[in-house]
Amino acid sequence: MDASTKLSILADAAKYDASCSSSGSARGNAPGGLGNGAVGGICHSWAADGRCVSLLKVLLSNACAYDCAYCVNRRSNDVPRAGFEPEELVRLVIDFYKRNYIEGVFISSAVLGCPDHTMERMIGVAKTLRVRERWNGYLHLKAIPGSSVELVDEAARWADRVSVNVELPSRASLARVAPDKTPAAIFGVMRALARASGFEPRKALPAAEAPDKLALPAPAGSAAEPVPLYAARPAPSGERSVMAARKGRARDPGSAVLPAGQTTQLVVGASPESDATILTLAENLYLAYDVRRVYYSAFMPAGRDPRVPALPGPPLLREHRLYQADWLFRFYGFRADEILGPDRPYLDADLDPKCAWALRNLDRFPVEVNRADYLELLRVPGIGPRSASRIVKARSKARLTADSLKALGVVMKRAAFFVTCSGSAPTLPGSTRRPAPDAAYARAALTDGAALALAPLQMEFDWGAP
Amino acid sequence: MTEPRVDIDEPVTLAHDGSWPGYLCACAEALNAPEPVPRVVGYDAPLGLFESRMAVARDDGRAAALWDRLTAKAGVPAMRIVLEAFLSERPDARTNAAVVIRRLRRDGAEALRDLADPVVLSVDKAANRSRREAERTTGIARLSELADGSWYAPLEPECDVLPLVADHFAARFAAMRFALHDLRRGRAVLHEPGRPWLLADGFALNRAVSDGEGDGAPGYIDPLMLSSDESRIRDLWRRYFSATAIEGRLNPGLQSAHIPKKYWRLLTEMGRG
Ligand code: SF4
Repeated sequence: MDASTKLSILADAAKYDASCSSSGSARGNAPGGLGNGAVGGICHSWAADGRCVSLLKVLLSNACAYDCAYCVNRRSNDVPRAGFEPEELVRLVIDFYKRNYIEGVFISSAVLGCPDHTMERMIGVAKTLRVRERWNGYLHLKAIPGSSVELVDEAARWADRVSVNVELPSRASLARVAPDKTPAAIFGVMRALARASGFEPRKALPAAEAPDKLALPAPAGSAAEPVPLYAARPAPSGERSVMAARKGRARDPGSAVLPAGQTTQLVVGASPESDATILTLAENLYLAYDVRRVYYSAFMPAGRDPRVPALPGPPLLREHRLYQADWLFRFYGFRADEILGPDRPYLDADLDPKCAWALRNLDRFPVEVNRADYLELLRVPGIGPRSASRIVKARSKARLTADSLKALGVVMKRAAFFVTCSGSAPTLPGSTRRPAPDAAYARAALTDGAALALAPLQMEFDWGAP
Repeated sequence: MTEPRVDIDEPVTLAHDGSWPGYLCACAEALNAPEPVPRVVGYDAPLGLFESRMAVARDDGRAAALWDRLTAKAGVPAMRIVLEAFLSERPDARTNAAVVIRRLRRDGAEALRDLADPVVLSVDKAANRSRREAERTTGIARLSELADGSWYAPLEPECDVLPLVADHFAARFAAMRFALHDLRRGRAVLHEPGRPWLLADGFALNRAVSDGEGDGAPGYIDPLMLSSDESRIRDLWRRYFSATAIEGRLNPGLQSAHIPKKYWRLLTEMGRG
């Protein structure tokens, strides 16, 4: 098989992993070496599906011993198989990197025989890149569920980031859809990664979750402990938000071991869990394992498998809303139970989750922009972290008016419903109307274009049907 | 003490030659001028009917002295914003940055917080524009290996970003001999391993880069000048790039929102040479 065909097959097989980020590492170049990390990450191109291309994302091999129903590489799927020789992949990374095509490489693999054997092969490539080629670009390694703690630790030594994908949001779905994997195999690796980057996993779940906790074999020198696994219920109110919890956590982009930490991915639509279940699990992963990012991947059916639904297309609108809610965790100080709950299991299709929250909590509005603190400003639809900090800066010099808000980058079309400037409500752009958030037109005015753009691609699947 | 007002209709202006040191000299002149404070404009700005314009000569020593004094007062991050605003090449941002320099001298970095002021806001926005263009450039510059083992990247940035990106590339490709060529401005960053980078005006890559009038588009490199591996590796990259898009979610609108078409010409994966 020629190099080009091989590359096509192994890139094609890797593309369903949504992780593209190259941020979080400040690894320096070495004398005579090649490359360095850029803390903010750098996008190098954008593919025809609109996703950023930052890393060469490939599998070492797609010949998998496992049979996960959602995955194109599963044993029972009929696709062409290929594998890189380690040396081929090393060459490719260096050749692409020197041309500034990529920020680094994301090496993953199907399970070749057993998890540890697969990990050893990936680590071999990583080591050659770092030691022989003296390459210091961004390196993301995928850890295989069930690999030994020693190998996870070694991967963490060479990589900027290591991830293991949770994929299925409940124990029952995992057992049905990915029968070769177990919760212990996945969360054991997450725990080892959290420790490798200096974070001690804690019990983050309420005691009622006990049945879903599992005692893992203890790594040398520490006692066995319950590890948080899936949680089907929101953490009780009063718990800290992801943003607040992360504020106190040390981040060292210059660290030699795993400077960019770990990430994970959840597949959306391959199993019946609601948005509430998915977001609650995501929040727990942020809190319990210090996961840097949770990615959400709309399920793309690849060949027929009776264990997963035959969706007419990937649930892109659902995925989009989940990402928006995830931003609210990380940058706006929201908790999962503020966004969704048992009585409201799905995100609103027409409104972004922040607008939906604001309309449900009108007693917290309007917010006076000349007085409200940063966190209150952040909760206003139309105001983001950037415009909120600009507001705080600018008002120390002068009182803000509707015009100054606009100049500072506030989206007045939304914000006008929820703010006052020195006591008076701004009018809607292009109108003399004073917006009332409880009026019937408010919901229509706050609707964004996502449902229109994405919904035609997404059709409902009836989980209740036989 | 209130600051003298800068009158937009003020007929006395100070013209700089368009270079960064030249601009700083005009700013220094404005700082010393008696009231009303003259505006700082480019020498190529259209002359107003009642305007009396004074050209300020470029003097690198004087520029450096002003830079050091202002940096001591306002700090490096504030001065970087002034530089970025200048490199945006927006005439209004340059004129406004001269006003901001005056305030930086008086109030220090604090002056930049006044974002409700249109002058400060326009400088801040222009600086953001340059910074974003510089970030984009660090991602989309495409280097080609030439037959002599050196590397060449043609660029067409919207702002004059070479001074903002040179350190990044010099650190990353420390062991490579390379040129980053701004085709619009005819300038290049030249880097030799083990030496500090240089900025060269009037750069041309030995007949190789067409000026747009010959056979190839600007940025086109004569295949004879390329290393023997170059075209094979470009093909691999194109192959990878097309394999990585997911067919079920094609979204050309989103793609060109992230990377506007005007940049595609120089991107290997979008079909160049
Ligand atoms: S282990 Fe499962 S998810 Fe991973 S490649 Fe194999 S089949 Fe796919």
